[in-house]
Amino acid sequence: MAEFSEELARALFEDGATALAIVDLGTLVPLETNPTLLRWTGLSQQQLLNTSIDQFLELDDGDFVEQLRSKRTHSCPFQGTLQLADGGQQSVEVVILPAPQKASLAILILRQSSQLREPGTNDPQHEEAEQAIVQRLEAVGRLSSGVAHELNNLMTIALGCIDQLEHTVPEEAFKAVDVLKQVVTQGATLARSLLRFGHPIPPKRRRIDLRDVVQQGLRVLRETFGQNIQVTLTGEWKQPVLADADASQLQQVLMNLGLNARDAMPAGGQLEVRLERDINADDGDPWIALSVIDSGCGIAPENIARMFEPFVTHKGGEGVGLGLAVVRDIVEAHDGMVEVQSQLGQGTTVRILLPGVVSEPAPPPAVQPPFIPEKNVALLAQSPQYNREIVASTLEAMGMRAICASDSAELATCLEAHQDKLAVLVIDWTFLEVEGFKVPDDVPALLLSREPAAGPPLEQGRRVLNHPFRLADFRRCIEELLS
Amino acid sequence: MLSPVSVLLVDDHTLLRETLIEWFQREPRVRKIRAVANADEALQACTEQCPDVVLLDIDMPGRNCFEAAKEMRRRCPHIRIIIVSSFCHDSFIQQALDVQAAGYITKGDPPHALMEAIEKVAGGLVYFSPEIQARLVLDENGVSLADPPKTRLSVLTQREREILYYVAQGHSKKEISRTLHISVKTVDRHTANLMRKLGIHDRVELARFAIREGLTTVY
Repeated sequence: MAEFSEELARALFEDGATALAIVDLGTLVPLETNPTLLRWTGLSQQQLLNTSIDQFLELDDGDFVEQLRSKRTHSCPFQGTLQLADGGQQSVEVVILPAPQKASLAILILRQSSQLREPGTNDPQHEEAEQAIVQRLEAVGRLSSGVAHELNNLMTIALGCIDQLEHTVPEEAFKAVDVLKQVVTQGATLARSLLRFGHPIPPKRRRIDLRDVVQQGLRVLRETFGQNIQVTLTGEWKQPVLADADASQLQQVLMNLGLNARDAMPAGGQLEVRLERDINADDGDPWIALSVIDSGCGIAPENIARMFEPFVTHKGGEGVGLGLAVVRDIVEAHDGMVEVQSQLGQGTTVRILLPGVVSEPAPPPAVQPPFIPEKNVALLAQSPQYNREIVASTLEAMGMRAICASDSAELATCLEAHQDKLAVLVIDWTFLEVEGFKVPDDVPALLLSREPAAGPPLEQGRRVLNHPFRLADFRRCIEELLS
Repeated sequence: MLSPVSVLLVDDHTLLRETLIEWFQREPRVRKIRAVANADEALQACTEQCPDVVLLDIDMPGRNCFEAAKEMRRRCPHIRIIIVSSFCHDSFIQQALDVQAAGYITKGDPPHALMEAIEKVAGGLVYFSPEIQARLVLDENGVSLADPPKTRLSVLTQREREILYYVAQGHSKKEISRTLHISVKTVDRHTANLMRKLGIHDRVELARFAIREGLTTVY
């Protein structure tokens, strides 16, 4: 699968001008394609999806249909010829991949051969440059999550099998299994990164102190650093550095930056993590900043512009080039910015700017108790116990003190003990109909009924809620009773 | 103020386990912390000394955590269980409700949320995020999630789901029978039934289905 993903990633993303098709091996008709193939062939989508692929594409050397149906992953692309709409021909490189888990399908990737022009384009290089980013993102969006799902599933199964192997293989094979596990785990991590890239997760924002995020992140990072990397913390560490942000996503940002810094310093060096607050505070919108500064090899100026693009890596074969793309996605989802400064041989500074907040952490939004503070006890006569715990938690979240009674005798005792502070009684129908409990007239009560209430309208201070009910409805009834 | 609680942490991730132990050891509201790596060790720990609160990871190799939670509650009726997961799938939440877990927390939540959850459940309350809480529906027979997504999983019985979980984890029939204390023949029957109901007749496809439906995840 590693070969598959690399081949696909290379074909799709290194070269922007890429046509894609998923082909049914029985009918040879494309089931899915991208707009590039439509543009090249000049066919409408409907025409293309009803035309056998060998009608407009042939291999220069070998039988195309035979290769397509061979269900093998080929390490080198084929040279082929694409029939164009205007009657012309175009040389293309053709990559054929078996579709994971779908023996009846194949994935076809076509790239223009460099010496040939795209039909109808006077300046192919210019247009390619224009199209490159759009096509790359389009390809990522459409295919990465599908590929990632397949990878993810296969890796899960592989890991399951390795787990079994670990318990059964002889001792001399331990090391091999260990290496296998590491490799497959890396594959699973890659698949998860791809999945995240295909489906960005919106941040769950809450008021956080960036110092906590950094300290937790560094604890994990230090595990991966050798003794030869010195970590220093500079900037604002004495006062809170507050933001409304998703702590776990920002931790991922720190992890990705930290690991890049480590890889930039194979012989060791200095890693500085700097926190700043109140940047541009005079303009009324203060920013905070988290910088990761390494003393590593630095990045060549021509590479800085592309470093946030997915699948672009300058680690010479290490990594897949998703770390910084994820960093940028997360930061932008937080309405922030990423700045990079680097000098070859001197090191790199990546600075994350996020909107800050001025005040101290705000307490969670207080629920205004709709009752007088002296009367804050809610008596709960309900079963089963799990339901009672959930209802009690809701009442406590409303600012009340929930007291539970499990039978009529206990309920009567509680009523008497708490009568001065009693705000409401929540009572199950079983207490009334089976145990024959009589609710005192002066006690506001919510009756949890088994079936829709019938009969005369309820008197003042009484509400009925039928099973099954949502907690939101329960809450509304309590608020009505107390208002 | 509640008296300090004893906590059992069940997670197969060594680094996470060690980090949390270190963190709990500095927490005055926790009087004792013990950590184990899987559900079987957790059951053993509960048998030796019942903790007040269990933090139970959802996706560990070996015995299914929900199955273990049920068994823990049988052995220690007063035990309070908080399910800890990286994911917030409806399927996981519903299974947590089915075993009457006192809380559900995701690994993305900050450590103070973990302590808040422990304090609440130890005090006899439950801890679910406001989003989950708003969707809870209470019936006389139990608690469920409102508007659950329509899924083919709903055609399976609880036992068939358990079997599917283990199949998806790559366990053999013999291993499943040992884990669930049922005969291989019974495992066979359940497997055949669930394959028939789902229209899937291949173990790899079953694993993929289980992952897609959130019944299990990648490690």
